[in-house]
Amino acid sequence: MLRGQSKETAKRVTNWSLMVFSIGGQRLAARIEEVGGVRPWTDPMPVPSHTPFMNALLRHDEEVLPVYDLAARLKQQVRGTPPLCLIVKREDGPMAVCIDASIPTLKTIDPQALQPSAEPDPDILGYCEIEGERVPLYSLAKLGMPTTTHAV
Amino acid sequence: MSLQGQSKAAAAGGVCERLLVVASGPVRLALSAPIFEGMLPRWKAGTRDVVTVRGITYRVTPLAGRWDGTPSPTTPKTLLLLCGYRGQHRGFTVDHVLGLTEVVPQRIRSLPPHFACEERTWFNGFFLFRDTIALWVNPDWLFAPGEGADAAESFEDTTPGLTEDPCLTGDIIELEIIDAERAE
Repeated sequence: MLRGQSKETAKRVTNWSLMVFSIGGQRLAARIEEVGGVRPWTDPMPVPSHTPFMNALLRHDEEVLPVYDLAARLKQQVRGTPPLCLIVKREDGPMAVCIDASIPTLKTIDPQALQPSAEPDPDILGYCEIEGERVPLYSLAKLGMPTTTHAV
Repeated sequence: MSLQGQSKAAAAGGVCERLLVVASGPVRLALSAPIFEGMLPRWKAGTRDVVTVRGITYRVTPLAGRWDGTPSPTTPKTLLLLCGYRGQHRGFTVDHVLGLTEVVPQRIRSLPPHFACEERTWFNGFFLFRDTIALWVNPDWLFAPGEGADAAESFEDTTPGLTEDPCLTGDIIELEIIDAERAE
């Protein structure tokens, strides 16, 4: 039944694919469209800066990415050796975030099931239930940008 | 041939910026060559905040202190860079010198827009240097008065006890363009 298949397809499209990763053992999720990749972490070079949590440049061959210290913002210590580098597709360009060494996983959620964020954190789109745990869904496209407001 | 007055060097692809790359803690910084007037081990200048070399008085601060960074502890290897720019003279302590390099403008990149605060005025940009990255310090910012600068300048101008130390006059390390690298 073509009509039924079409509805099924439309339903699938509305689901969100998420990458679930952790920082300091705390799980976080992000939409897969906003992730540019994951690779081993290499030592960045500190950059004196007054921009909150933006404090280094990471070189990978000819490519240089700004580093956003999400662990410091969450008051966590990245776990595991070596940690991983999450490439974040922020609106104004890609940036690197250091995450735990544990391999990120992929999940699919229905955005309708997203629970609204009670905290005034503009970077959190809401919370999703993953394996019994309430996991914050971050908007990586706007992570750490000066003024952000989101609507799910 | 000294570095003074040689900000740019001709290269096949155009004009190069001549920069001295130094280490200040984990940060690698590049300073425009023409601002250099000399360099000497910090211990030779003593622990004073003001030193006079060859008749020129330099107020000395750690380079890291320019951006509220924590200066490295002074060691026998700590160097004092004697700098001059638009009639001002300052001394900056650094951990060590990594080398002199010539960089074509195309290799100098702007800080990513993610850096959105004062640091955009601190650095003219950055470039790949060996296996790391060097930040090109903006001399206008480097020589701009900082906190406590006025007091130091006043001290410098009015303290009669600061005389030229004869042991400094013959020991300035002139920067020679011998090992310059060219990054094109």
